[in-house]
Amino acid sequence: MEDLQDVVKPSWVTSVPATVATAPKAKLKSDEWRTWGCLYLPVSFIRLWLKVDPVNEKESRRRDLMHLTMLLVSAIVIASSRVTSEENAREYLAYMLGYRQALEKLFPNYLCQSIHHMAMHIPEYLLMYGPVHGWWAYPFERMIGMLQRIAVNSKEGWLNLNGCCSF
Amino acid sequence: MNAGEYEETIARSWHRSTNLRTFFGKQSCPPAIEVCYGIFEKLVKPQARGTLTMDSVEGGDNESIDPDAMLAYDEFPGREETISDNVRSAFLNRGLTVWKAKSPARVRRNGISFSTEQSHEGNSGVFLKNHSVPFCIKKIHCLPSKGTWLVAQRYRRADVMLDPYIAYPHLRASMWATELTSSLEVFSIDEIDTHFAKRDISWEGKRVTVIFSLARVSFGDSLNH
Repeated sequence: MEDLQDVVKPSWVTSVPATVATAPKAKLKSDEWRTWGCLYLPVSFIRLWLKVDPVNEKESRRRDLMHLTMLLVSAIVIASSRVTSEENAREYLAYMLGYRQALEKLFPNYLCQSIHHMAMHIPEYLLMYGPVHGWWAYPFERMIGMLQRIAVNSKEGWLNLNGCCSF
Repeated sequence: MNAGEYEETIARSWHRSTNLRTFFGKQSCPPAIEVCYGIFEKLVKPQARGTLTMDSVEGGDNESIDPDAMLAYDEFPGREETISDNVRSAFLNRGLTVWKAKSPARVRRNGISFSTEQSHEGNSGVFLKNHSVPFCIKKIHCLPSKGTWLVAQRYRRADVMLDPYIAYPHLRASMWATELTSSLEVFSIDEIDTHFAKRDISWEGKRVTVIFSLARVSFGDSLNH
């Protein structure tokens, strides 16, 4: 909460709602998650968790959690670069592998999701299709959002029904 | 194809918003409306530059849509003022002899606002091309036929034993002293690379500032800011 207020940022950087620190199930948009993860979390974790006593088991675990998060954030920063290269793809994969290994060590009983597997294929797509901005699904998400915001009376015609049936 | 009211409303709404967005590109656009471009742009174009929304709309830098980027000297607000001696000597170091200049509080480049520290602290922190040191914009000066210049001060290196961010170079974060160097330096606005975000924290018993580069390009093999 303190970091949300005290980070000085340019006006174009997305603001993160204060509820993220207080509500356990805060609903953020993708961009807010990215800003929170790539900007606020690295400050908070270093400030609060790096100065812990490494001999204390509980505090040492916090330090490991911080390292885990930093690996994931580093991978996100590389993957969302507007310019990409073979080196970027290699670095991304190295961070993601490090993240997966650290995750398995910290949470041995955690069942990984399919998204974790898919994230391992991103380096191939970076090499085949270039920077993620050209092929990620956010434009479609945005389009859906725009369509949802149009006020309608919900009287559907055959066009919509046919689309739903075909799908 | 049998469309109902639902589809018709969506199609109409879509076409209306598209027509509004292209209105200023048409030759038939009345001059009185063209004057309101700035207000209109805020209505129809996403303002959150650098966000996922802008990425999906632009796909990259878009210099042509920014009217402020093309401001001529005469169009900058304010009057010419005599500049101070220390700023004048900073200009001399760049081979420019300047006595008077306009001093706006903010200026836009490629749609992004850069301000003096006094006007907006967040918009005043920048990294410059070919510099790995963060700068704080103290003044902005517009010179007739010589473009827009920033008067800035560097951040000092933090006097710490360990900068924890060195272990994570791709976060592009590092610790700096909270104080700036005393000397002023002058840079062209074209030398700006990117903004940064910062947070003052206590570290090793001292006040330091953590600075995050907000560059949208990440080089896998580089440690640059």
